[in-house]
Amino acid sequence: MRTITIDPITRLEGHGKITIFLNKQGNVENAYLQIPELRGFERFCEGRRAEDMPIITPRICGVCPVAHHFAATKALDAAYGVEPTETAKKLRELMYVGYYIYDHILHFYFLGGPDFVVGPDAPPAERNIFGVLKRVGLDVGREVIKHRAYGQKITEIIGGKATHPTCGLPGGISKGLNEEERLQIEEMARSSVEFAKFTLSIFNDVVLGNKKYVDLILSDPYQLDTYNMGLVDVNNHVNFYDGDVRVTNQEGEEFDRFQAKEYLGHIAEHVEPWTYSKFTYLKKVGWNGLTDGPESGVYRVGPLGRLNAADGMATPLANAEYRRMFETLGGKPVGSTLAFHWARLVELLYASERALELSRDPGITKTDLRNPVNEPGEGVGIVEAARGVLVHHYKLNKEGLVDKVNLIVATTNNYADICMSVRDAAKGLIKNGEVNDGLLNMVEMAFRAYDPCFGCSTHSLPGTAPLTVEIYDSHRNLYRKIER
Amino acid sequence: MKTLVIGVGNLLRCDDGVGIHVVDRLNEVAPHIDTLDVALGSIEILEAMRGRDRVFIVDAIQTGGEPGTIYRVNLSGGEEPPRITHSHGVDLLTTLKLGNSLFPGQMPREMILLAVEAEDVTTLSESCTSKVQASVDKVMEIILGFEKNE
Repeated sequence: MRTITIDPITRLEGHGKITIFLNKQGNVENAYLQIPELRGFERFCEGRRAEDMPIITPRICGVCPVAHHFAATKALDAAYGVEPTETAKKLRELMYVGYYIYDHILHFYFLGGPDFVVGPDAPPAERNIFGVLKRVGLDVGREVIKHRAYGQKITEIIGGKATHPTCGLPGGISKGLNEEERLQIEEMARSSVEFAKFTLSIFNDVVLGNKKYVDLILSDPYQLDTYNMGLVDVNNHVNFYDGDVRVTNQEGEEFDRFQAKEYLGHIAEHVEPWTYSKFTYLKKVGWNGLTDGPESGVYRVGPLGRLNAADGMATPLANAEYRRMFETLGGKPVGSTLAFHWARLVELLYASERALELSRDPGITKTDLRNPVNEPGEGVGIVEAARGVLVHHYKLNKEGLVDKVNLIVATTNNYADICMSVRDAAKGLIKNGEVNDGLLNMVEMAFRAYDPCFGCSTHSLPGTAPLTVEIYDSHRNLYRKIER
Repeated sequence: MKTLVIGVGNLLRCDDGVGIHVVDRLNEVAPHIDTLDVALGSIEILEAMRGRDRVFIVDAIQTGGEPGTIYRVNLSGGEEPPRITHSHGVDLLTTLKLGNSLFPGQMPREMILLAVEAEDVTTLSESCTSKVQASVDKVMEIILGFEKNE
């Protein structure tokens, strides 16, 4: 048996390792993805003041600080038995869609997009942002930087600091919005709607206009037939900040639905000996290994999971794109891993439209910012991080100190899916021992579509190549090593 | 002279947070100097650097050297930074290259990377190890020395 190891995976936060086992014929027997786990964080938080949690938890990870900030703030709302004021809810959501704007733009142009805009089998030296700019032009590059910064600016105006927000308080928010700031956000949101439309037009021309790419999206190695999970509003439209957790089945019908505080009755965790990270699954179905289909409790979260788990988008342009996506890809639910990219752009448009709506809401500059809190207790907060469902669960003692913490992060929710997607892509693409750079990149694409985040921002060692491929012989001796 | 000091790192990851500690100290002793604290030092710093005359980037690094050692790299002088991969976004070199191609003439004339050799970047801790902590003031002196010579 030969072993191929891809470690670390390029263009992703933290370090992961893909190991592919080949049989004697050179076909893939199995493939594993190991991801590092931020161990001990729950204990690190115990004994701290409850109100410090929205400040500390965004520091876990430089990629989704705003998601942790509001999952923590909402867990405190629940723990102190207080509903935030209407204005606070609107401001929190406005800040939250700002985070989606910058996050999704970064992913499309820098991380996921190069595979399509430059090409999945293009040389690695060109398959990056510079390759993208060569094709779309420097002016577009400046627009990318500008609108990514707009998303960040929106979060900064409301949150105090863009990357480490401080505004969320149990029952509300620390600072309101004045008219000048509102106008500034309105203008940035208006521009972002246009930019999101433009980005979808690029996707349309470059990806959907190319039969080879559409066939790739719909090809077998990239399909998974799992349950889907996401937050929805009362109309079953996607909501990033709040709502019920809805689960749909392989037919696209509602299978389960619950509120944040009920999550332990619906989600369970499974441990495998070969990885530190846990796997989550639906309790109603049970853990049935790394398999898909109705008998397996594995579910998908993130952009595609959300769109599959909802009935539409709450804004008109995004809703039209939502319909178009499902019509083009054969109806709901869509199982193609590569459709995550399209779903992400539908969400970019929704986030921009929603930012514009909220910035024009006459109540957004009101000053009812906080409701008084009650006695501390237990609370759960769930938001949609850009990468999927994020759960914060705290138990506070009567002094308001943290007794117990449980976090379920988006990448854990998707871990089983990512493992299966990588395995299936490897099995479908690597045949008869032929392992070239383009094929390995296409295996990575199955992984990159999820935009997984490993919850830390440790740096790789200098001099270390971002991608190493190791092939071992049947005795596990190093047979070949490729560094890019 | 418009100076910006960017501290890069994860504050909860022991020595990885050294850049953030430098920024925090600078805010106390030299509040007139603009600072930014970021976790990834990726595209998010590009906008912040535009229009500045001088930018310092303070980051943790692991080369196997003596913990607390400070490496000074003159990025604007054409010296290549050590490879610090923030693989979720893009690395520093890519960020600078992108800045120069998209915004010619707007990137800082002087860009100095101050990288501190880290001992421990995996333990969950808001404090650095003692040798790395001792480098915080030294890094600050280097930055203030530049400013004084204006």
